[in-house]
Amino acid sequence: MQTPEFQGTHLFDRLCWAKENLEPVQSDIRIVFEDAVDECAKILVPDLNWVAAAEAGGVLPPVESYWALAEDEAKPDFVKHTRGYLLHDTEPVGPMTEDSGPYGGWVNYLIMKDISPSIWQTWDEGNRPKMVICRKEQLPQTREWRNAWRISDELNLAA
Amino acid sequence: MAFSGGTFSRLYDWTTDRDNGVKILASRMDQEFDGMATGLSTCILKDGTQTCTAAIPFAQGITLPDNKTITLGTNSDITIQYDESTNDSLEIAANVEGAALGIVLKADQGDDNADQHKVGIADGGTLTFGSKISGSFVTYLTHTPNSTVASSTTAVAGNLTVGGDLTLGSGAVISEAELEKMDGITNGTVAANKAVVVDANKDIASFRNVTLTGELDAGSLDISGDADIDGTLEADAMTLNGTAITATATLDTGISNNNVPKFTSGVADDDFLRVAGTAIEGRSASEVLSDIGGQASLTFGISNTNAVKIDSSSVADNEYARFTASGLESRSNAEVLSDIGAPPAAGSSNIVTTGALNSGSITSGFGSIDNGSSAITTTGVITGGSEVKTDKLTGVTTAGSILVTGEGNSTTTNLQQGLAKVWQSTDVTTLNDSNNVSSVTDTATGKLTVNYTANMANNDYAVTMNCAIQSQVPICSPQDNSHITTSAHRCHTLISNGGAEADAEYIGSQVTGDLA
Repeated sequence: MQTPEFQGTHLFDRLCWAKENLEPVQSDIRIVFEDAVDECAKILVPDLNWVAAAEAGGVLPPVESYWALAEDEAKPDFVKHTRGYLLHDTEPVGPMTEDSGPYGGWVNYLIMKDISPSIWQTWDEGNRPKMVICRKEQLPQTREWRNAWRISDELNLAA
Repeated sequence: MAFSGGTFSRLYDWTTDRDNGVKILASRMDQEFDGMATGLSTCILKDGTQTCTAAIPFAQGITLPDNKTITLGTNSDITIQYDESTNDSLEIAANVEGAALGIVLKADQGDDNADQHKVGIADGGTLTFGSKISGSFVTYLTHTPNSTVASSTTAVAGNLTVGGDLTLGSGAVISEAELEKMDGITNGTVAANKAVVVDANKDIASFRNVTLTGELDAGSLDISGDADIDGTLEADAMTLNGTAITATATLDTGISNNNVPKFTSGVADDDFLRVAGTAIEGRSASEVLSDIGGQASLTFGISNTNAVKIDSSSVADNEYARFTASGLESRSNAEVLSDIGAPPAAGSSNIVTTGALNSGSITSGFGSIDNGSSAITTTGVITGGSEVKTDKLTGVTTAGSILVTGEGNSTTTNLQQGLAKVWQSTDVTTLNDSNNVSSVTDTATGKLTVNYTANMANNDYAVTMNCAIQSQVPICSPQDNSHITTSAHRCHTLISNGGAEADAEYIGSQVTGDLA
């Protein structure tokens, strides 16, 4: 379905349109990352309706809009967002696949949106990677010892 | 051999022999005189007593005196001489009584027929020029002399091309342009700038204008168009459209059928005609006005006795007339309804108007209302039937605020504030469905972070969540305020109050509040 011209339309309205008109895409992509030494590895799971909107294009705002709002929220005197228009009025991002299109694909876009920059900006600068993109089936099948999960060499190699 | 090739060479030198003591011998004398005899025997003799036995080459030419001939042919057929005494000319003559003279001129050794021409003079003087065709000479020019030059003839068997004019007789000169007037003539048809030649029937056609200064004497005369005769037309008999015209013919005048009208006296230029009895009389313009009771000019307007005229450029069929200050204009049905302030016809299913409905009411049973893209504004209550269909509800005072009457039928609640801005349903780490969620993060056992696509305005919104852990009475909460941001909230699941963290088989959460 052709996405309407959405620039200037509230992002929530766009998402309601996408949920009503786009077929959900259940992705098996998983992003495993470690953001604290004393915590286990975290696993980011893409939302099925969000992936559909990303692949259709013309719905999601530029990821830079999220960064701007995150900067505002990080300020000590933050009360509420006053630049919500960045989500609604900027030109929506075009169609993306997992690994092509704007930002190099929606996986990269999602990483830059929902994972701290301290992770994805320096993910491979340490002694071992802090982030890995993998498939769901590559994760441990049992959740026993979930709190002890780390990015293993096998997972890194498989990715 | 003493004589060889035209050169006589002595065999001996007597002086040398003397000096050398050689004797005079008969044999040496015979040898010497035999050579002389041989030389004399081969000489051409001037008295003509010797006959040449070979072609004689003359290195310095041959000279003949006046009137002396060279005779050719075994029978002395032809003579060639310079005739000094009679004609003072080179003369080539047939030397046999009654014989004709023929001279053949050849080019290229006469290899081909076309290389050869023959000039001949017959006994009697007829001169012919012939060209060799297929092995025989064919005459193409013949000149026959006569005792008078004027009676002599020259005949050309082939084509004759004359570059200049052609002069005939004592002075008739015909130029090329004059001859072209006779070239390409079609007998019986007149053509521009061509001579006229009648056909086999002595007919000629297609003259355009013919001017005669004399008399046209014809067996009959048939003119298809008009005839213009300035003089007298004299005819033994005449007919008009098939009816004979006689000297005694009379015209029937009057105003009956087939009569010829007859005018009364006094008819003038520009008069109108009126029947007067059995004649036609002339009537001036004023007389005609009087006769018909008319006016010289009309007074237009909308006053009494005025003539009324159309005062509009858009008068259309089936429309109504309305007075303007000067005349009549055209009004459509709708315009007439508007003009007279008439109400719409009873039973009409639609009201089409560009004006306003400022009074009255739309009662029960009224048909559909379609006002296109225009807005319907009212400060009163809109009472609907079973449902109201719309793609969008917007508040009037505040676009993003619509009140809904609450359960007590008197208090109100805000519609927008009651709507979930985020919701999701997750089985362990798989999102079942959602709205306004970009991802969930499996942070650790019993910890799941829900990330929003459209941020909330602040972190003071409300999160409602529940979960299911098999055979347990679980507790589900955001854990603490730090895990509620404008872009995410956490679902923290415990087996029971104070119990261990555990992954839930199901987690559902929703957010109400203000979006950014």
